[in-house]
Amino acid sequence: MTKSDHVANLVVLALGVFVAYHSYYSLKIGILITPGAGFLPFLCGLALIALGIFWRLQAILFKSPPKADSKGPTAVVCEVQPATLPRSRVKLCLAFATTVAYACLFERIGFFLATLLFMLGWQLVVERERWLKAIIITVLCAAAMYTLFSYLLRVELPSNPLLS
Amino acid sequence: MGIFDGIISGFFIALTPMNLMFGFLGALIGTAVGVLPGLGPAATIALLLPITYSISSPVPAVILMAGIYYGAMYGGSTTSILLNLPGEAASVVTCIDGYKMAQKGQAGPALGIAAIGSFIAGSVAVVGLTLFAPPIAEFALGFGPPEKFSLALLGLLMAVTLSGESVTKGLIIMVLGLLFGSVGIDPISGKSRFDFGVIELQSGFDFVTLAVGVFGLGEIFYNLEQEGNVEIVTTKVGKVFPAMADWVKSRMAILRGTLIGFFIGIIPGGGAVISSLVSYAVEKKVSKHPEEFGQGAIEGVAGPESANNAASSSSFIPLLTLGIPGNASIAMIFACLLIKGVKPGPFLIVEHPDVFWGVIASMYVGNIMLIILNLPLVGVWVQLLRVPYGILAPVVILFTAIGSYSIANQAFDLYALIAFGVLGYVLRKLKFEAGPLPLAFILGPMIEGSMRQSLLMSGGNFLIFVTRPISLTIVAVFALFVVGQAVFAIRRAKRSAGVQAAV
Repeated sequence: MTKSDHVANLVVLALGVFVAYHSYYSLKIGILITPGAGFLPFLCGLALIALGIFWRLQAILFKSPPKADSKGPTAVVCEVQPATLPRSRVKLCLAFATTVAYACLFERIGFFLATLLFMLGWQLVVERERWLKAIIITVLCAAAMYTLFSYLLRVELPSNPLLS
Repeated sequence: MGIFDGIISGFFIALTPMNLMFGFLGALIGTAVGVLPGLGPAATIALLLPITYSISSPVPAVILMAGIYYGAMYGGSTTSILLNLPGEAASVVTCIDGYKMAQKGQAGPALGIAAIGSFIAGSVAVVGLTLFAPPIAEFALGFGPPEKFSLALLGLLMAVTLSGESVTKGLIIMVLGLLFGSVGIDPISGKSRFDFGVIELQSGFDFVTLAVGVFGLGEIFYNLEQEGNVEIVTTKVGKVFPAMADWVKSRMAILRGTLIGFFIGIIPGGGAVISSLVSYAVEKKVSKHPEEFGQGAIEGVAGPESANNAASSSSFIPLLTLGIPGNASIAMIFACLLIKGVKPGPFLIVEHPDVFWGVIASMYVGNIMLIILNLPLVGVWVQLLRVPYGILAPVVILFTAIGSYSIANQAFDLYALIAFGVLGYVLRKLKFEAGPLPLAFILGPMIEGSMRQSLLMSGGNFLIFVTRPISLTIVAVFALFVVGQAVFAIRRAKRSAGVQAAV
C-alpha cells in the first residue's frame, strides 16, 4: 500500500463512520417494513467501513514484492512511464487557481468578461505564451464561445452588471 | 408493432433531414474525440448533455449522443495505429499490432481494416440489437420492484467487478456514487439528506455536474500534470484500402470479434474495453502464427477493433430494454433520455417507439456515415492532433463550466463542478476506476425506491429477493458469475505462482 493509498484508506474509513453515524442519528433508519431516509445511506456507511477494513487487510496479507534494483530491467520500464515533473505540478496548481477564479467571477462580472480574463490568464500564467499570441487566442476563443452559447444555442448566461 | 414494421418506421424517423444532421454531427464529434487522446466518449457526452436542453425532441438528442459514442470507437483506432497513443480506452489493444504495422509502412491497411472491421461489426451488432431488444423488453414488462432491485443492484455490481483492476476500489466508488445520489430531499419521507444547511444541496447534485466534473475537468487536471501531451505527426498514411491478402487474413478475426463484442457488450460492465482484450486473446490463441502477434499481425487490429464496435452497439440492449446502463458512456445517454422526459426501460418500446426504433435505425445510418468519415478522411483527422493542448484544455474547461451553469443558472454548480473535478483527478491519481460512480449515481434512486417498495410488499422480509422466480434467477446468475470469476482468479494466481517457482 502506497502512502497515498494509506491516506485514501483512512479517508474511506472516516467517511464510512461519519455517514453511518449521521444516517443513524440524524436521518433515522426507520424499521424494515418502512425504511427511513437514513436506511440506504446507513447501509452505504457500513459498506464503506467494511470495504475500508477489507482493503487494509488485503494490503497486509498480500504485500507487493519489494522493488527491484534500479539498475535492473524495471528501471527501463519506469523511464517510459509519463513522469510527473515539478513544473507540471506548478502548471496544474495554476490551472486549478485560474478555474476557481473563473467560477468566482462568472456571475460577478458576467460571462464574456470572465471568459476573456480566464483565457488570457490561462495563456499567460499557465502556458506562459507571449502577449500577442495570448491576446489573439483569447479573443478568438471568447468570441467563438459567446457566439456558440449565446447566439446559436441561446443559453442564458450572466451579463456584466455594469454594462446591463 | 412487429420488428419489421418497427425498423421501417425507425428509418422514416432517422432519415429526416434534422435527424440525419444530428447523426452526422454525432459521428463527426465522436470521431474527433476518439482521435484526441485524453478526452473519452463519456466525458464528451457529459460535456454536450446541457446542449440537449436546447434540442426540442428526444430523438435527435439521443441520436447525437449515440453517434458520439460509437463514433469514438471508430476514431480511437487512428491514434493507436499512427502514434501508439490510444484515443480512448477500448483502443489500447490496437496499439500493440497497429503501431507495429505503421512502423513497417503498413499504416494504411491497418487503418483500413480497422474501419472496415468496425463497419461490419457495428452493422451486424445493430441487426442483433434489432432482433434481441424487443423480446427482452417484452419479457421485462412483468418485472416488479424486487426484480427491478435485483437487476439494478446486480447489474451495478457486475459493472464494478468487470470495470477495473481492483474490485474493492470499484465497490468503494460504487458506494460513493450511491451516496452522492442520495443527497437532497428523500422523495418518500421528504427529509433532506446531507445538505449541511446549504439550500442548493436540497435538490441534490445534478448528474451533468458530476459527470462533467469527474470525467471532463478531472481528466484535464490529470493530463496537465503529465509530460509531453501530443507528438507531431510524421507517419505517412498511404493507401487505406487493404489488399486482398490482408482481407483474407482478417475476415475470420472480424467475424469472431463481432460475436465476442456483441455478447460481452450486453453484460453490464462488459463493454468495449473488455471485448477488445478478449478478442485479442482469442485471435492470438486460434492463430497458426501466434509469434506474429505483437510484431504487426493484421488480425490483432481487425479482431479487437471489430469487437469494440460490436460491443458499443450491443450495450444499448440493456439500456433500451431494461433501463440498466452498462457503462459510463451509456449512463450519460441514460441521463440524456431522462433530461428529455423519456424513461429508458421495458416500457420504452411501447411508450416511445419513435425513440426506440429511431435510435436503432440511426445506428445503421451512422455506421455508413462513419466509414465515409473515417476511410477517406483519415489524414484530416490526424491533423486534429496538431491542436495544442494549451488551447484545447481551457476550451474544454469553458464547456464544462457553461454546461454546468446553464442547468440551473446558479454559481453553486460551478463550485460543485470544481469539487467533482478534484475528485476525478484524485481518483485517477489513486488508480480508482471512476466508471461505477455515474452508474451508481443514476441507478441509486431506482435501487433505493424499489428496495423500499419490496420491503413494504414483504412486510420487511429480505427473502423476497430470492423467493420470486425471476429475482432468484438474476441472483443465481450473478452468484454463478462471481464463483466463475473467483475460480478464474485462483487458477490465474496458481499459474503465475507456478511460473515464478519455475523461474
